[in-house]
Amino acid sequence: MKQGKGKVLTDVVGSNGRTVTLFLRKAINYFLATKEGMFSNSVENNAVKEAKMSKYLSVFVAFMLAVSVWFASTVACQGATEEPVKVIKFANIVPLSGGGAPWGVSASRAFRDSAAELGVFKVAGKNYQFTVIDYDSKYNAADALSALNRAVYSENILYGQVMGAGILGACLSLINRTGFFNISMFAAGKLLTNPNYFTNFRLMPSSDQILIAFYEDIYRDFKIKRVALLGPHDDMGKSDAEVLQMLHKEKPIGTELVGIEYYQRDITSFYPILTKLLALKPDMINTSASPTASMGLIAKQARELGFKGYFYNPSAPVEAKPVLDIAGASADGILVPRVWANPPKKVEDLANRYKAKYKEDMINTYPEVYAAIPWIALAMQKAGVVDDTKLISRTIADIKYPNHPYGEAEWCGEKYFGIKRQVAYPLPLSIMKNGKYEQVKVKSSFIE
Amino acid sequence: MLELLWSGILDGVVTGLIYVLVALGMTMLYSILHIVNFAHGEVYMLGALGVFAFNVLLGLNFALALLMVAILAIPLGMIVERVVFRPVRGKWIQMVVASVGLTLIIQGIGWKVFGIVDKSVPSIFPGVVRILGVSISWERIFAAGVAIVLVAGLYFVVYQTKIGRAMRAMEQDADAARIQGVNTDKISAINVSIGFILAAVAGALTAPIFVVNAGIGLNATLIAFMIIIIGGLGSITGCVLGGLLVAILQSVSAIFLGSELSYGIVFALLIVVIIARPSGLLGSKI
Repeated sequence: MKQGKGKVLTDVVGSNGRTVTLFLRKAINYFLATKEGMFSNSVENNAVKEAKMSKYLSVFVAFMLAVSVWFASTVACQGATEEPVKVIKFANIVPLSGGGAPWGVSASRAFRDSAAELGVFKVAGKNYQFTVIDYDSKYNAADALSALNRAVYSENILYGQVMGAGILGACLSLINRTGFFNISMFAAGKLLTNPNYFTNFRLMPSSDQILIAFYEDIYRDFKIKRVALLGPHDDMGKSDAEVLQMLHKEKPIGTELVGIEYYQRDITSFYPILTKLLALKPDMINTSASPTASMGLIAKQARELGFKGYFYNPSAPVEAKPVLDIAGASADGILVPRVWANPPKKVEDLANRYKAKYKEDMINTYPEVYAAIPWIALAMQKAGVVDDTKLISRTIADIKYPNHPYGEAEWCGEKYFGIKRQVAYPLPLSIMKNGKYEQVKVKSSFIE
Repeated sequence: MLELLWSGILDGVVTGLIYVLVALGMTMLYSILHIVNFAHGEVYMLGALGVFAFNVLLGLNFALALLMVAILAIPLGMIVERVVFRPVRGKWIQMVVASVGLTLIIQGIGWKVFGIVDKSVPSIFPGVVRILGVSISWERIFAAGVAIVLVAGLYFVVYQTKIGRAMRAMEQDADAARIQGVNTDKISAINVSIGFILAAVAGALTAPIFVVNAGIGLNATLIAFMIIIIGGLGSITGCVLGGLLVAILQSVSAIFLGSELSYGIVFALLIVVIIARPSGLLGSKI
């Protein structure tokens, strides 16, 4: 038993049981010795009565003090015997307002819930616990960078997420300079995942990974002859355009890429751009990394303008209910990877827990993010350190994580990206039909 | 090519008429009360969220929801005028700070009350109509139609009624109007209320067309500013012209040059107007 404040207190007041008994015995003896007691009916003068009352009160107060001291000493003893738990802060820099907020809030909940589930863990004999701190990036590079500066320099945080390819680019210089371990959701491809960014890990399938994985399947299964891309005007949209052009050039399978257009993220009227694209008569519109609301508006407005083909949103999951609320029957024909129509059991369990806790449906980014913190903890335990992010990065890259909700997950991309910083796990492809998603197929997303 | 151009013009006209409603309220506030209301777009946002609340959450039909939004804009306008604008009338810096603060307050309340997820209002007139070979939704046609009626109504109020005469008198010289017996405080409150009704109804009309969240007001404020500067501060006709010009230019340039350039082109027009004709294209007083 560790000697500390508890022992001192215990010594001062005697052993716990003996102290209390001593006081009680004295109080009872004193009370009985008065014969008449506090509730006597005999006539006494008030001064004597008051003197007796004050004596009883003193005994009672002394008794309560002794109990308090005993309790405190017991608790202090217990506390003194436990290892202190050091906190590892995790900076969650995500959009908590605006269009990207559903993803950001979902990620915040996933990190917090998985950290709570992990609880206290040991690394090299010491106790640690993750605590998640949220920063609202507003899906804006300047706000994200400002938040990251604050997290790193003011709060000394070494781990976290900067969500979104569109804004991560602005933060990578700081991430590199400080060795901040970034494990996050961001699309785009080689632009943000390459040997230059050693501590940068992508927690979701990359746009190119998905485009490559399903390229031939989609065009063949759905008989697509002409495809156009309509993507957000940022790194994500442009990266998808580059990969699509590369695939069409290097793996031609009879489908023509007829046009590429970009839109500003906050627009709601897509009529002009869609008018231009639909004049090229595509069978499919690849909407790149459009968020759910934009996807719904694009589908609705494209159908109003007479488009009858498919939509394919490879780089961002599209939630069913919100897109149906916006587009209604126009949402039929939206193809989305990373949406499980028939989810694995672990995903169902998470969905049920999420619904019970948050009173709303889980969105797909939640299970994808859930594995991050326990995976990092595993790497820390293997490496034996918590604050050497470069060592943690090297270690985690070689660890498979068997408890990922989708199945066994690992890091891949050594050949394609030049470094193993891309997560790989079983990946579904689903299509919206008659108001709900139907699963088309499941493929591994591992790439060399 | 011609079909694309016609498509851009048609979309621009319909969208522009809705923009005009927001801009008209702002121009009236400025011309009569000399208030630059940065929070005007938030009233547009409240209108959209209001119709969502009445139509989707409370189950009222759309027409009733629209009416409720218009009615509630009146006391809102009166309260804002009395509590925020009247104390800072004539004091520029305080007025700017107050209206920016009001923007942040309304936005914050909107995010808190309605949440972060985009909301949608069911279509009131599903389906499309083809006009000279170009499709456009019935919803947009309806919104444009209501906007035309409201603009006509505003013209009537301003030029054919006693209240409108009082507004024009205040706009010329508030002190002289007061001496002539115009209750300037009452006219201010009515003026702000009318402006708020127009902005709120504009938001309510666009709710079934687009998505609704507490962040849509900022874009509306920006576009309203562009319109009143291009069209002319204090001119209803200028506002209508400015609104149509901005929307058509945005739409046509997006089709032919790409959406990345469409805002830039509108801003280029703004700069040209500011330099060549600072009072705006039709910058006469109402």
